[in-house]
Parts: sequence; structure tokens; C-alpha cells
Amino acid sequence: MKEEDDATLVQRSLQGDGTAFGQLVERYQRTIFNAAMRMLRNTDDARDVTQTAFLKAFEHLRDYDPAFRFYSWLYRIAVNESLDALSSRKGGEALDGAEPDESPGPEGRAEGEQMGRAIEAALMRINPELRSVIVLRHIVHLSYHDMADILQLPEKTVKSRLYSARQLLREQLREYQGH
Amino acid sequence: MNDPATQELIHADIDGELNGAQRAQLARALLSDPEARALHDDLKRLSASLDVLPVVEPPPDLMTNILSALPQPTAGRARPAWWVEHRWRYAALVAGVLAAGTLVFETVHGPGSDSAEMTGTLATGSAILDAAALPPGGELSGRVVLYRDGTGLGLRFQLAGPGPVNASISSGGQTLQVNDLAAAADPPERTVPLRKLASGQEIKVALRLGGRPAGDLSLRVP
Repeated sequence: MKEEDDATLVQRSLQGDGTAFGQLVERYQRTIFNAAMRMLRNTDDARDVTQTAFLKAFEHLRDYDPAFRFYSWLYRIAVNESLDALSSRKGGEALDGAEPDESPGPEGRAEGEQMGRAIEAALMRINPELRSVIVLRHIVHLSYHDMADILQLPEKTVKSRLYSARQLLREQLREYQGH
Repeated sequence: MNDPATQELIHADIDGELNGAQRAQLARALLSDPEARALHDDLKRLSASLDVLPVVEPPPDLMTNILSALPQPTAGRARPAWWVEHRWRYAALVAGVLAAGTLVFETVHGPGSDSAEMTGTLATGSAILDAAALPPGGELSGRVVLYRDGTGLGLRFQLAGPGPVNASISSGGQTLQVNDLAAAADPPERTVPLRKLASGQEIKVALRLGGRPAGDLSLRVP
């Protein structure tokens, strides 16, 4: 259903219907912004990546192959833009605000919130390519198949990267928890 | 716990990819190997926590900024008669004026990389920094977008009006004059590269249509 809807909107956009692409932006901006936030951990960079991803998608709409899912194509652009943004950062990664407080928090702070902050920090310490598989799987909630499409890798490689990324995150969190 | 087959089963279980036989195999492995059990428990908790990381709401102006940066559709657009008759003359004029405009800014701001001297439609890989639109209902419509790409800052003009439009771009005491911005290209957009503007610096764009004031816009470098 959704595939047909996306395909129809793409077709209408190509025919000059300005509102159709707006619907695609409305549909995917939140997911792409959140994926970029988890990749970059910086609001301004995530906003730039989201804008650039949609602009590139629009400019290259005629190159989109409707045999594939539109969102896979769009997420691929966004992931590549995020990786480019990371590689262009100099002197380390620019994060929003100060390094988060990862120490066991004051009384009253929810354990889940602490864990969330620790995970966000741990995510930023792993290789961006491994981070991207975590983001696609756990933030965008995609299947192995979709992830393979987006990353243009065999499913086996995607699984292997996902497993490695989780193991690394586990190690990071064990350090944080004092194991 | 170094058995790769068990590790793969654990990850596949977390992802809900196991069939009945594989689930039974994993259950046996977990019963016999405490390290495997610890890994399974840790990864399950980790995955559950990743799955519920809070969703971050995009900035409220994100969608507007995206849409304002899109090139205007050209399919089926009616062209005024003057445009049909003189399009090549205007196109040549625009090319010449933009080249001259770039040279003026080169002189004002000093030399840059070769790629920064290009003018043309917005390159891919650019990020929108600010945008200002003309109020609806006027003779002249459209918007001006401040962007940054691999070559630096630039202004992108997306204007439509009944005749040639000139722009006076002022920032930091310098002024650049660019003529024939509206409807003088296909697609109807032009970019003008800017360089060496500081964060927070304001860029004022005064538009004139047929010699008459047609709108003043203000953009700011974030």
C-alpha cells in the first residue's frame, strides 16, 4: 500500500505537482531527522543532512528506479550524507552540548533515561559505518533486506556488521556499568 | 563464549529471525553455557533500550525550509510572450551579468578556489542556511535562499515576475548588483556565490522589477 502511495507521489512530483513531494517530505522528515540525529548527535548537522537529503532526492528524482522502494533510496541518500558530514568534521565529532553525564545519576533519575544517555554516548564511540547499521535497525526499524538495499551490501555483511556493532556497544556499556 | 554459531543464533533471536528448530538449538546452548546466557541477556536489554530511544522532534521550520529550497516545477508552465521572444537574449545577458557579478565579489573578497567561481543552478551537496520569501500578492513572487555547499556560501534566486528583475545584494558594507534574475533561465533559478561572510552577518537583498522597488529581503548567516 505504502509503496504504491510513494510511487504515485514520485510520479506526480515528476509531472510537476509541487504538493506531491511535500507529502513525501512530511512522511519521511521525522524518520530521517532522527536517523541523522543518532548518526551525528548534533541538531544543526542533522537538520542540514535532512534538508540536503530531500533536496538531492528531488533533484535526482528522475534517476530513482521505481523497482526499488522509495524510502530505501531516500534513506540511502540520508545515510551517505550523514557519513559525509561525519567525515568532514575536523578535530573530533561536534556534539550537541557537553559530553553527557554518564556516571550513575542522582537519585530520582529514571534508570531507563540513564541507560538511554549511556547508549547515545556509546553509539558515538563506535565506527560510523557500524553505527549506521544500528540506526537503520533500531531507530528506523528496517529489515535486514531493506538495510542491505540501503547500504548496497549483501545481507550477510549487514548481519555481520550489526552483530559487531551490538557487541561493541555491549562492551562500551559494560565499561560504563563498571564491569 | 566464542562459538560463532551460538552468537549468530543469539543475534538472530533478538531480531526475531529464528525458526522453531533454531530456537530449540539456542535454548540448548543457553542452558549449557552461562557466558552465552549472559551475552543473550545483555544483548536483549541493549536492543530493547535501542528500540525505545526517545524520538527527537524535527525543528518546526524544517519542512518549510526543505520545500522552500526545492526548484520550482517547470512542467507545463506558461511563459510570457516577452520571454518566448527574447529567452536566448536574456539567457546570454544573465550569464554575462552573473559572471561579472562573481568577478566583482572576487575583487571585493579576494580570490578563492576555482570551483567557487562557478555560477549556475544549485549544486547537490548543499545545505540550506536561511530563506526569505516575498509576500504573496505582489507582482514579483518567489524566494531567495542562502545555502552552503562544497565551494562556500551562495544565494539562490527563485523568482517569477512579469519582467526582468534586478537585485542589489549588500553585506558587510559591500554591494553586489545582479540583473535579470526572474524568469530568465530554465529552470527559473540562479545562484550567486558569496564568500567570507561571518557567522551572524546579515545579507540584504533589494529587488527591483522594471526599475521599481519590488521587495526587500533579509537573510542571516547562521
